[in-house]
Amino acid sequence: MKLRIVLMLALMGFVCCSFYACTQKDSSVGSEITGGLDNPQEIIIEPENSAFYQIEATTGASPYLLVGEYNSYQTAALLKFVPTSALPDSYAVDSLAIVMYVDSMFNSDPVYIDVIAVNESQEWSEIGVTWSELDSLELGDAISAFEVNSGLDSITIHLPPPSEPVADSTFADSLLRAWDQANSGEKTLLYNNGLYLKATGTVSNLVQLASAEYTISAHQPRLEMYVTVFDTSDTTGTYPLQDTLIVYASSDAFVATDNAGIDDSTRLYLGNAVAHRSMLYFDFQNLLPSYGIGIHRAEVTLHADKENPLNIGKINGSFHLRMQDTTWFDTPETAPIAFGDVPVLSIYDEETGLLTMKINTFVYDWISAPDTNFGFMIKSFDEFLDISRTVFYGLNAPDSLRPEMRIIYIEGGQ
Amino acid sequence: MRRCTFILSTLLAVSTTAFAAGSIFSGLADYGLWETFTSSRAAGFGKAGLALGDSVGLNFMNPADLASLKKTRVSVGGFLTNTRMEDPYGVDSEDWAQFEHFGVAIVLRSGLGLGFFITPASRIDYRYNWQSEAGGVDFTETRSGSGGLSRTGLNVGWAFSEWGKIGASAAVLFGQVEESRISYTEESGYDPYIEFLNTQQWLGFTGSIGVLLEPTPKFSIAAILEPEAPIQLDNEFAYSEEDSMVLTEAEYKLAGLYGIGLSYQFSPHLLTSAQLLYRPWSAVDDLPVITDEYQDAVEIGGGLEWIPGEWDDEFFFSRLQYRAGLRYESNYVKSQGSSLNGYYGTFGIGIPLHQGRDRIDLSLEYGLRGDITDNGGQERILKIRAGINLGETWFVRSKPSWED
Repeated sequence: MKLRIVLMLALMGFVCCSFYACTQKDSSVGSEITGGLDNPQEIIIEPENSAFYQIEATTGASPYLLVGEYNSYQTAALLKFVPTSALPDSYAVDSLAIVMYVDSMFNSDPVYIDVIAVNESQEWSEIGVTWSELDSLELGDAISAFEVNSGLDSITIHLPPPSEPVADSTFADSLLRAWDQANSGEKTLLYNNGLYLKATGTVSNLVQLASAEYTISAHQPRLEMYVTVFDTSDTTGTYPLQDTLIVYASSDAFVATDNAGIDDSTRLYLGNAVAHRSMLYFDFQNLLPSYGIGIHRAEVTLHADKENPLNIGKINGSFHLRMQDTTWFDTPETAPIAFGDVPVLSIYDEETGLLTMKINTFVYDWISAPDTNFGFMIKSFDEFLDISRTVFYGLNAPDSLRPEMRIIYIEGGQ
Repeated sequence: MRRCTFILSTLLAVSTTAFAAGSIFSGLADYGLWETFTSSRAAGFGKAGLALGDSVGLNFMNPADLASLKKTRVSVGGFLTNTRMEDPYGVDSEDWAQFEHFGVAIVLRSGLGLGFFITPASRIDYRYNWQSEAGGVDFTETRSGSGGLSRTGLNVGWAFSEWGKIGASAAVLFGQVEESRISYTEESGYDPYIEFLNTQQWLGFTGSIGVLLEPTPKFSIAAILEPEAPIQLDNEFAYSEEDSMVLTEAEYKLAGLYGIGLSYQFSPHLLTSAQLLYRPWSAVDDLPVITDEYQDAVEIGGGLEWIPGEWDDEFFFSRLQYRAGLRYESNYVKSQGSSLNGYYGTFGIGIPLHQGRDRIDLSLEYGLRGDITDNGGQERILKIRAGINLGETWFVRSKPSWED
């Protein structure tokens, strides 16, 4: 009996040790025997359809104000100061000066710019104003003008004080009329729709001025008001009265139009200001199984046509967004964009001329649910920033330059 | 106390899932590698136990042998193994131990026995790592699997005559297999890690009929027949990029099993046994993978047992049973298009206990499976088995005092 008990206990111990001593093979020996194991695969497909259109972007957030004409682009700038808080009732304005800084010029040609006061009836907002909106802009004669030459760092626009009655004022009803009222001891700003800067004459250059969003605050547009104390008994409180008051621009934007009339469907376009946007559609029908595919990378690559004369400036990168339907095949400018996508930034490599966009999420959805595949839009990620038009090869380009989607995937062996 | 230890050990044994030995070749098919088990005694005979009438140990393959029992029997055992794996690029060695069999049988009446058993049926235990390249990017791939099928059920054996026994078995095949597929890269801008996970739940019902004939006291012939059986698969497929998973059901088939065995008692001290097992996998239509990768499986084994002395011999070693055998198997899956064959030699010892009413069986098996050139790899397998066979006077009342 004791032997039997010992045997039973030994048996129990053996079973316990046997179970817990089980190990799992963890070496790589034997990997070659399983011929037919699926390795990651690469497939390259080309789009079935493409389109592009252009839209006037709102540029109020741009750190620049562009004025001039270049490569079929035409731009003008809007600028507005609200000096009410800086101007006590007891002051009269003797003269004004607007100081602006030049960031860059496209070439060395001089640019002549008129300064026009925006009409009383034309209000504008820096977020939303576009060239099309200014078609009905009523503009009078220029109240001032200046020339921008290569190498110039800053410009000063001098505005004389109102020296004539308001009704006979040779200056547009705008900021100066307000000064006229102030000159009489009343700080009543009748209206203020800002100033319009427009290139005149034969222009083949674009001037890039610093805007109110410029990174160097000292270079942001400012209004300098040279004042005379009107009523010394009126004070502004504890602070001493100044004879020069400075106000920075409260709102500004540039508006642009593209007169190139692009209709070349063999190319795709991306751009800023007059923002070109392109769409692509890839057909995944019967390409891959609808489930059980793991995608390491799905990318779309556009090759820039760097020699194309329509290139101006460059884009920095792009966003890509899914389309809600395929009406863009016919009317790209009105086709809706799908909701819910978080814009993903892709950087444009200027040196190689490649714009590569990673779209793993899109491809996963299109493979698993082909009926949600309506293609996607590519747009410059900073359309508000400046002027640019970057040309890319389209569907009819030589093999190595066409847009393509490259997918590296693995099948899960379900 | 004995009952407690019996129950505890039984529960412990049953609570563990029985797995057959793993192999680098076990990733070749969804079922894994099949293993057969007859009895702990036959393990020293080259596993040729179909025709071994054994009243001490339990025969897990031929239910007819249950008719030989004289008392309640418990048989349990397992093994320790060292497997040396080699392919053209490297060598590795793995050690593990596992439970292999548990059975308990009772005598319903003389010549009629009923048994419960659990044994491994197959095992998947592999892990493959390799490097690949796509689109100029390097990837590390892993495919691994673990699990297998176990077999449990009831056997019944009946002696319809002095020379003939017949038995039947009703069994459940069940198990879980997890297979993982991982693709990994360190390349910037790529989703670095993709994993697919297949969790498979297998369930099937099968049965067999066994015959054990003893036309002469020295000669036995046995046969078993297990028909082709369906097996249900519930598969859960998930992968790292999706929150959802795909659940699928499928039904496949398991090939039938046909076996024939012979044994001959040359003398009270010398016994031989041989058997042939055959599974026609090529005739099965519904298999989880491409049919071309399956072939009919054959297993041939044989050996002899020698007892040098008498049961009460004064010299200890003369009381033991010495066994030796050889076994050949041709597996049901191919590797790299070639048959996956195994060659094994066995040596065993039976240690009688309790005046021969119980027995400990120890065996050593050494074999080669596969060929580096033809199959892409080879395994050298060393297995040390131990089986304990005990008889109990369960379900027997004590003699009433008035009969004294």
